[in-house]
Amino acid sequence: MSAIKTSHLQRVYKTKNGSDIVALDDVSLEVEQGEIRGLLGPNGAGKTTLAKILSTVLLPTAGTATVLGHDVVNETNAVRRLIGIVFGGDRGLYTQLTARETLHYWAALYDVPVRETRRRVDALLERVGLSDRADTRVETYSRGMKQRLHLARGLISNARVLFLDEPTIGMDPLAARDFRSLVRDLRASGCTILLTTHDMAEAEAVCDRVALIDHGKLIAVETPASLARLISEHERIDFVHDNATLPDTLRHMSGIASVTKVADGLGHRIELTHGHALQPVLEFLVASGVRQIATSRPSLEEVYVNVIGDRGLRV
Amino acid sequence: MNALRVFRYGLLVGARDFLVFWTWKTWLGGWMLRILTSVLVWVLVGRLLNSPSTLNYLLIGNAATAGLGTWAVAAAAWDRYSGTYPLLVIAPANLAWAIMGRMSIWMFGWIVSSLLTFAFLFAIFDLRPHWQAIAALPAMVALLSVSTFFFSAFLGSFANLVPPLRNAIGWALVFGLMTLTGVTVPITFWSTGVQVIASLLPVTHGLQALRLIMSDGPSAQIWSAIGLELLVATSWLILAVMSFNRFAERGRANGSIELV
Repeated sequence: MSAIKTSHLQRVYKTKNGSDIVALDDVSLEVEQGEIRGLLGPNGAGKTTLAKILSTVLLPTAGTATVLGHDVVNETNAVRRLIGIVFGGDRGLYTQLTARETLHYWAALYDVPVRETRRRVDALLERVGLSDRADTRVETYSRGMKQRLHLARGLISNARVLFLDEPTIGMDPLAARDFRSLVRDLRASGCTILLTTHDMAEAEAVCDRVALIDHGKLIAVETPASLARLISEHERIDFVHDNATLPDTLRHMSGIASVTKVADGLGHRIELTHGHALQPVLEFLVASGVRQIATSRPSLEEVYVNVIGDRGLRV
Repeated sequence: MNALRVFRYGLLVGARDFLVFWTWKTWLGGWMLRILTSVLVWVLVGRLLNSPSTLNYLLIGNAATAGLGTWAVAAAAWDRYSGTYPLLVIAPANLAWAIMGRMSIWMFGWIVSSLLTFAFLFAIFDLRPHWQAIAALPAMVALLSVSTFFFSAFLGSFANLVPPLRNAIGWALVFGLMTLTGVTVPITFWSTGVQVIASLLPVTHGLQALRLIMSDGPSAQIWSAIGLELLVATSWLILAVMSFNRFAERGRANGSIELV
């Protein structure tokens, strides 16, 4: 049985003027038990909408979704006992409570037996490294500590499926790294995780597979390694030079997809068709007297809209 | 049982909310002083009219509802602002108990405010109610406050639905109850239609019972009024729980529950 399964899932919002906005369009997805699945896409792509439907915060307009075999619409209570949700940022916490009080509160909401609650709260505080500050008010915590408390809260019910919605947003790199390490540890306990993010590095660090989503549609499901390869294959070069014939010369070189003017001045951008073309093109530019050269990789958004989309990959 | 446990933790959150706004010094020197001043004005009106019955009427009505305020209704919307609301919606427990637990701290504030106000007025006007009335007073004040709290919870569900209106809804509650339920104006002053509405509101019957107790009225009438107040309170409680859950379902359908 899949941990998460959606079939032709759709969500349409009505705007105030009566028009429809399709936030999720015909999404069919399957996540195996024990898998960490990334859901990658730019803001407004539909990631959070999908997480909201699966966590029973939102009803779908059409299609079906199940969590560990339970339908999110018709078996809401059964789903709720199996899931946890964690989102990033400062919100979602009672900042006047201590970490220990917070976990006791959510244990009550998840009907964890009183005797079991104390043991579980202590274990979770230890696991997320908050034992020392367990009796300090949350309002005094750093962003990273709050996020670890969020994770502990999401796990208080012994959730078998965890939804992490942009969990490291706003965290400093060290805190984010620690948090990702915690997430990886969860895999060992058999927890299935759906992680929404727009951060490729994050997806690469923790996910077994990544689903790319944009404009409400699922574009592809790839391993992080193949995504990284796709990105590295499409390097680009920015250069500044006043030789008016140079761009035309470059356009005829092998491995160059396009040469475009990027600003009003003398700057140009070369898009390569594959990574192997980088060195010869750089050598040519240097030999041509170009002294201002920079290489960069396309953003993830550009990759999945312009690259993956064009390649017609399907799930 | 679990509902009580959830309510208790909600109350803990509410207690911490309370301490954000008040210390015991500011509560006594600010809140209570304002309450006593306001009640004193009404009671002095009774004294100036040189009518012991009017004085008695205004004293009991205003002291019994002295603590009533808008905070409880506003507190119903605070989970929307703290981002905890979606987490309450998807928790297996009924979210109404959590939200009402958080709101309820203000009800305890009403009870204490009201009892202190009675003590103050009895002292400065040198009133000596009989011991049965003194004994019944805390229970009656608690009944009025609980009943008002359940009505506040029902209105609070709307404040939770439209958080920017939370204070307006709170003030509508205060204005409506102070005007219609016989606090300062006898309900017989109003038209029959308004009296019917008043009979469905909290405070109306409980206040009648309290006045009867204070004047050593007939037991049958007292118990009848208490029974009606309990019935009204229970009805508002049921409506409040249904309303919180109905609006949560509505939020799931129309997508108005935001995760962050």
